[in-house]
Amino acid sequence: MTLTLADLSGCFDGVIPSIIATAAADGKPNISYLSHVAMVDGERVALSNQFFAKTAANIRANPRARLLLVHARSGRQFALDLLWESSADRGALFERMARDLKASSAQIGMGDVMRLRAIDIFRVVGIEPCLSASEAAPSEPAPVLLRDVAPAMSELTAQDSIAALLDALLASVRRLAACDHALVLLPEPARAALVTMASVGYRQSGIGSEVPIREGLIGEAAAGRSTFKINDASRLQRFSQAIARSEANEDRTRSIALPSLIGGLSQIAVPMIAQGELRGVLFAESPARLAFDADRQSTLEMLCQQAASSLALLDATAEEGPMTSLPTADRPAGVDEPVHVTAYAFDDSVFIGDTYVIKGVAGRLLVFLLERSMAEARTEFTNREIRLASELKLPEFKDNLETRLLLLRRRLDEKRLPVRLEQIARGRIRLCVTGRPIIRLRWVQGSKRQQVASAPLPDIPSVLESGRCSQDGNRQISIQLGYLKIGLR
Amino acid sequence: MLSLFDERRIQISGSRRRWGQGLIQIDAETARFLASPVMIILGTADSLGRPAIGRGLGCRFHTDGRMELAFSRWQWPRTAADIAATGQLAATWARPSDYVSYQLKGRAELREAGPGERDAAQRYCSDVSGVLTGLGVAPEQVAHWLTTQDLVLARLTVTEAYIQTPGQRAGVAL
Repeated sequence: MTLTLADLSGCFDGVIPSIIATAAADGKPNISYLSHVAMVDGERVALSNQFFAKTAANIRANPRARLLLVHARSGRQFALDLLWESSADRGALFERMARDLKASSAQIGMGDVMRLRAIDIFRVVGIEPCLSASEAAPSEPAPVLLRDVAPAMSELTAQDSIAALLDALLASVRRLAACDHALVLLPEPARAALVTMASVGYRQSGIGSEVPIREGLIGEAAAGRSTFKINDASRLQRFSQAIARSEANEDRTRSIALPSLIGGLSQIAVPMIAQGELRGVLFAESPARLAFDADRQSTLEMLCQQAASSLALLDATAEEGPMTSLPTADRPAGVDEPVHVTAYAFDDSVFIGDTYVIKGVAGRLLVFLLERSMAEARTEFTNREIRLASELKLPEFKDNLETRLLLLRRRLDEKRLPVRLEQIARGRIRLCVTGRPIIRLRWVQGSKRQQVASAPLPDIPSVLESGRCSQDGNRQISIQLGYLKIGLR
Repeated sequence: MLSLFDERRIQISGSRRRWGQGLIQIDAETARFLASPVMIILGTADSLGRPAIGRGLGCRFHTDGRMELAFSRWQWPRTAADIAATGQLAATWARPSDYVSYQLKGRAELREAGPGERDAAQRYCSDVSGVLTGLGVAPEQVAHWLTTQDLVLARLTVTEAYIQTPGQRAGVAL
């Protein structure tokens, strides 16, 4: 049987180093390990060339090379005869390999060392399996069956809310890719970051945690709009620096830790793209090596494409709810415990009691809902009125309101706070407060405070400076707060 | 762990220096590294300049500064044929835990292995398997790379030596 490059797909995972031998014009051989080999097409491979000047010089004098590839799972070896065709230090293939290399060398702590200088493209003129004295064959994972994928796709199309869609996606990922730990992150355009909106399998859900675009596997998948994976993270310097951060620190740092699986050996990040737009990133990890083989990667990519389309569709058909007046509601009788809500103007972070809830637009939303609810004695809100509320100054991303409400809802649930949000219909939510909210608005020491102090404003109540104000004063102050922000931004 | 390395038999100059006809003597520290359970890969080319790859099964040093590398002629027939035809060999040693690597090149000639050398090669295989499995590589995978069938030794007279650890100094002469 003649082997083809396609038969060697299990050799391109970068787990076991490949080897290249070349010879100079005078016949003197050279041999070195290679960090990265990629299949260009059915007949060509591209090899990373970071610092092996001798190999680069040799192939220019004598284009023949021999490549040894090792199957990542079985350990079987294959020898390929190559003919050098060209080198490139730019272009789509180069960029793709540079990103792969960055992702895979970060796992061995050599992210900086392994900067890709050029790629060498070779035509494969022969492939032969190397002799082996071992009969050992590892157990191959069961293939993913299309008949199992189809119902999962249908389920994704059937969901009518972002929350349900993300949960359905995670359930399918867990079932089909046989991994117990996964996250879905959606874009936060205001900060060039992605925010965790749903997760499964982790002790801390990590909902609300953020990953900057281009940082780590998740950020690279978002920036490169292609799947990134690590097959063997045994010596991984974790991309996320968040591991050590405990939940207790969250209330101090105002940042939520990205959840991570201690001892995870395989990781994959798959972008969710619809109509050319990044809609999110799925991240999954497993304690097994090589958990995300080509079958599982394709399955995750299909699920992500469907989920991205469904997200786009949900955005396009978002129910806004009526603009008509909503029913008023009395506070439940007998619950008069104060609920202390502190909002910080410099980053819009909100604390309930001593618990950090969220910051940014979601934080503004929470304060807005609480204030409205108190001022108008009602608990129900529509997306339409929220969007039109000028004091919120929502960014002009129509599609993000529902996402932000979902984020807020999940954070409040997760922290088991006396303030909760319920989705009562599409485009309609209910604010549930167990107790009597007391909102304090605070400025934090620093440059913003000086800006505030110099802003041309009428009477800012002195209580604002001290961070204390009465319940009655809240409304007035928050309106001025809104004005202040207009003045500052 | 110094399976094929008998330190008492090496005359160590204490520093890197060239001697004789472009020959290179390896300093003690490097020699110790080369004889430790690290991965060894062998590069050769035939008389038409077609390269070939093999894997080494340990090395030992001789008092005259030459070294011998063991490998399986059964598994790597082209490596053996090329050495016989051209007398040239390049070998790279790489430590799997931290990628510290050296490449040595020179003239080589083959000879059959004796029983003691087969035992030494077996010890190398089990030592290097231990290192790799300690790093998480499955023993069944390693088994495909290491066999002592039809063991031969390539006696290498080193004429060039390079640092090959990934990084700025990769390719710098020792």
